[in-house]
Amino acid sequence: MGKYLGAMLTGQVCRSVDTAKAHRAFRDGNDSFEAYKKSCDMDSNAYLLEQKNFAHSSQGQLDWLDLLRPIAHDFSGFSKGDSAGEDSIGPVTRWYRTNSFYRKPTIKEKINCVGDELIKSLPKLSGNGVLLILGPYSFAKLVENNHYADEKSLALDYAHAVSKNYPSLKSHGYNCILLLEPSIGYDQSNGNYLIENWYLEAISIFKKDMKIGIHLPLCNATPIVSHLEKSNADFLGIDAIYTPPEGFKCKKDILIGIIDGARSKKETVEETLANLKIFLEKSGYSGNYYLGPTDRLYDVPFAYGLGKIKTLSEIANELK
Amino acid sequence: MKKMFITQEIGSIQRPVWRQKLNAPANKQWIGSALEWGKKLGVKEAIELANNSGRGLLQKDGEKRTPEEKNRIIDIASLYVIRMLEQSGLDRIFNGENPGTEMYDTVASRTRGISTAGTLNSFDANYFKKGIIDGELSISPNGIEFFDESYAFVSKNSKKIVKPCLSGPYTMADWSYIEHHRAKREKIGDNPFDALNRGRSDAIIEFAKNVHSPIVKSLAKKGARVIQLDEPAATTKEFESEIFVDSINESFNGIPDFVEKAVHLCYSNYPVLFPYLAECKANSYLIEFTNHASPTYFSPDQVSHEAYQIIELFNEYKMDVNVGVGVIDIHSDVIETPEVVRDRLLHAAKLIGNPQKVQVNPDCGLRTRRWEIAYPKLVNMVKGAKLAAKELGETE
Repeated sequence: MGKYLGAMLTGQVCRSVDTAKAHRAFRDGNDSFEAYKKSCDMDSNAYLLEQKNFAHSSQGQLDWLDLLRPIAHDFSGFSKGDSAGEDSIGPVTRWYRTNSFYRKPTIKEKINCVGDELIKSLPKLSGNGVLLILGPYSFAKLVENNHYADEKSLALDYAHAVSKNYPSLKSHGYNCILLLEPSIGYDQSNGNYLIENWYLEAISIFKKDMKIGIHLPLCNATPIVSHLEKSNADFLGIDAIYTPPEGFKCKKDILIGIIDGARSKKETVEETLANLKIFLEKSGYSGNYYLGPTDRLYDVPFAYGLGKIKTLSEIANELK
Repeated sequence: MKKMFITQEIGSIQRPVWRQKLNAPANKQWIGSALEWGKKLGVKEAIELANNSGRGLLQKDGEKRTPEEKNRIIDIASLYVIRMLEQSGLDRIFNGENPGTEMYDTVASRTRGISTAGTLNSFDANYFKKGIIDGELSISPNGIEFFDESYAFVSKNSKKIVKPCLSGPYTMADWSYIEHHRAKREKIGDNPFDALNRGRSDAIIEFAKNVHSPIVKSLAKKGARVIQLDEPAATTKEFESEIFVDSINESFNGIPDFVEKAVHLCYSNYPVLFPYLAECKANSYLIEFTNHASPTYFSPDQVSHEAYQIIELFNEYKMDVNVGVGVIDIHSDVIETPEVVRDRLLHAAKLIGNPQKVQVNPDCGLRTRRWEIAYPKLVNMVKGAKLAAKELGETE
């Protein structure tokens, strides 16, 4: 029987209603950026407070306007647009099957950076922080590529650029990176996902001396895991709602997304543990596992997200 | 002869801070701004907001205002928008969605069977309230009245064509957690996955039948000759395109032919709506075209491929519809020049093949932009439409 390794978030989280108001007021010129930032920080602290017993914590990167924005803004190689303001990164584009959107950045030159770019957009943590960023597959799908001849060279340069940030990330308290791969599930549902060999190469660039996880939300992870097991990622994240336990096998440690990130219902500790038991028994998985939400907690309001994190925290106490 | 390039707003205009914060203490800066814009837009009711007596509506602390006074401030805020849209030269106008809260909540708060969950982020500083459907859906008694009164208010205060708009059934359902219909399906033995999908379909159609259809029917009866359903979520789940079209048809069911049935779509992958859209009873589609383009110049290579592709599909499916071309980027402070607007419209007219079928609008609601930006954008939009019409030989 495997060991419980702890909990962690699996994506960005939702801002509170106060922050929403402060954000709008800032946009409309009725309040300062500092007031908005202060409200974001309060939300961040509330989220962090609930994760004290998590294996890796994150403030949910709630001040990132989307998962690509700080990278497109601060790394070189991306079009910065031809005017100032919100529109400078790229067109507004739907985030998969949700009512949220991101700015689709355009790559015009080689992706590169100095190495201190990511910490500009992250709070300093006391340790065991997890950085939540797009994995190479999704990143390559979500940008407009006007420079690279193929996805491989794009993904490898992205991995190199992110890994340049490791020294500064570590000094900022981050020792784990969760590579989020929503595009794999999306493509899987349309019957056209393909994980090519370059993917494993990109993961090895990410690996270096950092703990690396790959998370697969909104998809049946079973057929994908067999490809990703060959990578040198430390663990693979699965969505336990979309992944039937029957037939699931994995030789690596896994992160089981057990709390539904897209539903308003707040799961209880008892029912979550019961669902976990069913998953482990039916799959016969006996390796070590983390627990987390199925996906980002961006699609549930702030209080609901906090509630779901609280459930994970209570489970952590129980399982320890 | 039918007018080319009918101009209109999509719906929302940013609310002035004095309209947003009805309970706040009196604020000199807000009063100054209200008076300045009142003068600029020729709003004679501005004097009720602040005057020499010192007893204007905005000169009082919010907590001391009566409910009637707060409602009057909302009415006056609507009048500011009406005058702004009139002065911009638009052919069709509404109230900037001032009487409601925001596009989801305006309908949800007047619907039985929904409770509020909270606020979610959709994009940058844009947020929306999300509800939980926890019962059977139907319009509440004051719901129809609200939409009728909003329409009547604008009609009474303007000679322009009034175009009421409201969030459509698919968007309303998609932006809700569908618990009731899901549970109902589970109860009759559906597995969780089927229960989720079938529960969604049930809720979408229930919205159309029990909420949207009664509102739309009543608006048509009150004299509305164009009614717009806002469906920004239309393509969120591409496998639900058929149910989306069914819900629009149900909402417009029984509405006479002389009422223009408009649907607003934005930031979407439009081709997934086909072939089902060909069966839709709507006859105008107001779409975002400028999001992907440069705000400062026009080039046929720089247009939104997704948006222009829908024109090709309208042609392919022989759909005889009006196309509202979004010529204004609502996420940018750059003010499009009349020439850029003209070129975008002429390009669309060429593709559509009939300039009388081309309507003109921003990509989406201008609530995202301050009035200092939104107003000149609208002014230039109208100027650009006139230039395009002139180019094609239409005289004013």
